[in-house]
Amino acid sequence: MSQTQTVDIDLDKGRGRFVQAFRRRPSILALVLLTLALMAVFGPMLAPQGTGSVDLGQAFQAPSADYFFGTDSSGRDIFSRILSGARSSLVAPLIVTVIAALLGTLIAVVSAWNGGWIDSVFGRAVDILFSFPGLLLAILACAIFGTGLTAAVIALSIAYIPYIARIVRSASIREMTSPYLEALRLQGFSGFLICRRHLLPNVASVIGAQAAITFGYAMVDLAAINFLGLGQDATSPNWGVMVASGQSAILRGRPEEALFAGLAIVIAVVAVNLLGSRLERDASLEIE
Amino acid sequence: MSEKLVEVKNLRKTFEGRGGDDSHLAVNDVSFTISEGESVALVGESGSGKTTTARCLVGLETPDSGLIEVCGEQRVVRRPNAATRRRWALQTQMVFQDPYGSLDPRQTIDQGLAQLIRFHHGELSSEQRRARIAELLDLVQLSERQGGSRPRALSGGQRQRAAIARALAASPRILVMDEAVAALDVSVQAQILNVLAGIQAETRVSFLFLTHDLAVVRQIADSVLVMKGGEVVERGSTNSVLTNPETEYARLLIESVPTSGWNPENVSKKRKDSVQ
Amino acid sequence: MTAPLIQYEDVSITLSTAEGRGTVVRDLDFQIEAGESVALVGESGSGKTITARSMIRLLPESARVQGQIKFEGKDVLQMGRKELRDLRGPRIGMIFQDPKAAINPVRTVGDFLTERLRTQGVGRKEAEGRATALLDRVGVDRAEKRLRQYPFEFSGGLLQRVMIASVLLADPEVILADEPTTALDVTTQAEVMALLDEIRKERDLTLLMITHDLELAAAVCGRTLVMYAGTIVEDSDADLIDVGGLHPYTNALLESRPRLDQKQDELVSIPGRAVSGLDAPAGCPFAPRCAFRIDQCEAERPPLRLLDGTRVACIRAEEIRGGSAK
Repeated sequence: MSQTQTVDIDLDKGRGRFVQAFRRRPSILALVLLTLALMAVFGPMLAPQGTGSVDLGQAFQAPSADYFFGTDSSGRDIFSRILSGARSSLVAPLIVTVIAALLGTLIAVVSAWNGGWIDSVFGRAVDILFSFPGLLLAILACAIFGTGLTAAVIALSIAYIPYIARIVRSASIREMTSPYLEALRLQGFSGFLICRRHLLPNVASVIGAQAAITFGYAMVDLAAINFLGLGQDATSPNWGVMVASGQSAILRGRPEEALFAGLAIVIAVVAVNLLGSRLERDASLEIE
Repeated sequence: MSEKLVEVKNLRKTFEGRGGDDSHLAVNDVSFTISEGESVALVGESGSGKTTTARCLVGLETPDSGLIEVCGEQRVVRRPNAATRRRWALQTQMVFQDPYGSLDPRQTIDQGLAQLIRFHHGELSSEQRRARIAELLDLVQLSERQGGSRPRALSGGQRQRAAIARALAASPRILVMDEAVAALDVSVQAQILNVLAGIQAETRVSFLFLTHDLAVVRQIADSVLVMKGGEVVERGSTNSVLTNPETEYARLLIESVPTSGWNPENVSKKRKDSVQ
Repeated sequence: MTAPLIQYEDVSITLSTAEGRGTVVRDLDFQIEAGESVALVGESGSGKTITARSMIRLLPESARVQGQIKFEGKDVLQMGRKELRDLRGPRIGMIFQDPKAAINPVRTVGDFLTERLRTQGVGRKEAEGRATALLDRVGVDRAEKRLRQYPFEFSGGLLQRVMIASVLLADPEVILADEPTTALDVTTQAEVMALLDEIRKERDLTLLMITHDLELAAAVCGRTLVMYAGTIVEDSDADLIDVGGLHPYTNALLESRPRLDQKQDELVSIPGRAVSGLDAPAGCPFAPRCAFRIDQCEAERPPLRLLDGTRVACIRAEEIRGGSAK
């Protein structure tokens, strides 16, 4: 209540005036995200040992100058595999996020803009989708359509649609209470154009925040799929797969494979979640 | 002899309540006309139906029954599509009450105006368009720099002026102002009212001014319609209604304006008597 | 000579902004006697709201206050939590601008009204009894039934009466009203103002009303404090609507209002734009927009001084009043 009061004093100058603590300089978070992105793009090329040549004589080596993180059960350099595995570990969740965000936003905006029976129908459909837990659906899809990531990616994309749709829909409805959208309708612009050029850009920050959070969930779920052996095959440098195959090495006193692959997953998920909550906070500040 | 631009006859609009019961008759048998260059004030408090009437006129609501004729065209259409609205936008435009929500926060004023001009007057070259933008900004007394700003950087009064400029971009015959100065500071309100008077002098645009502020009515309107409970209870020229009101309600409204020697006690008693 | 009930001595309030610390109100110096009805008038950015709220220390987190705000001689700024709790409500009650926003929509009006009493140990029946009596007093009919209803079932005017009732339940000596009628219809405004006036006289209360409506202030309150850009520019108990003010800003405000009785060729509008205390220039804050400004006005801030029973912060006040200025 008092916070709104201070904004009242200088509404003229724009809301950003009293918002000090939220514009922090881009820091460790940005650095981490950048590193992950670079790994995904250039990983296989930067890896000193490629995806790891099999050399059974070098199996289960401790970390050294040659092998930064040591070697795995097949003598492959773990560090190189982490680097080259970034691509498949990060791209699949990205695909899930993009599909879920696109379809979720589409459903949300169409529902919010049209209201009425369209909103009701989509609402029911989304409610049904809500009842499917992502991971179980993915496992089911793998069971039906075979292993490999395609089935899992599609299943997860569908399962995540309702989360994004719900939030984007309420953000859209909230945006629609401002007269400017109605004013544009009055001008005779088509609903499609208004949504695309005016509504969407103004809820974009909300979509971005949700997408970031979805990415985190997708990463974890896909890592689990891979860990269970339902995803990519055991030789691929996918991080989830590596956590699984690193299990046996732990008993031999060589936890590096599972550890570093797991760490990579955790760091990526945390970084993206932090990005998501930062975006969410920025989005809610815009609303005031 | 001024051309009659708007004719509204026996307008009626009901809103359904929640759960089907308790429907609310917002506008009941309202009729009025607006001529070219005329300023008509629609006066009323909350629940009077003035906003609903105005929204029916511009096409944001569909009336249950009645006649709305604007520039010779019938407007009571079940579900006006975008093309119809586009045509209507060249005749009637609306400025809303809230200066903080009337503009797309991501567009500069110039960009918004350019978009509208391109939409409604696509035949203009980019140079002509730029000239028109400058003309509109000038009309509402906004500087070039303000034109290049986003709403965030402008004050409430400046935003309202930008909203007026946007409304004028289509060169409408009638401008509907829905309590457009109510949320502004007193000194800013004076500026805007002067701007509006200037615009009318220059372009002969007609106004439909929705307000509860009778002093504003005196300043800007030629004729007044007083609404209460969805009906027009009194109408006439500004002078006759404000100086010699015929109805109890109009008298009550006039006496509710604080002036020297104002005694809210008397007004209060009167109101209690008038409320059934 | 009794001490004034409320006394502001050299009060300045600063807030934290994106550009560092800024002063929103400065050098406030005024007092209010018991039983007075005072209006604090200003436009956006004038600082009127934060000034009134400082009286009960209802300030934003980052606010720092210099000077002293005394209630019955005790400095509000030095009060501990318990003293502050005893101040707010039982001594000074506050009526907010928008009753819909200030009253919890998911609880009944009865709960809202009796909450405070209940926490003080008053039994339910007794608390409801008092609430009903007060609702009756403020003009809410069928009060007992109304206690069971929710805020959405009340109109704006009725809800504001409920708010007034809730403030009165604590039996304060002072009422702070923050734009109490701005969110209401104009006829309802008259009713609510009449009610406030009645109650004030009946209970011998002190009223401080914040408003942007100079006419309302002058018509209803015995004394008007006009604020601009965080300072008081005029402190007058004259009938401003009839005789006008002494400060150019006061008069500019009065003149820029359209008149009910006649149409003017062009409304007098003040050039430029209102500034807040944060952006106030050196010297007289109104100088850049003032028709009477001279170089000296911008050199240093004019102090509030007494002139014919009115305090005014303008070095040219005599000339202007005498009509010899330009």
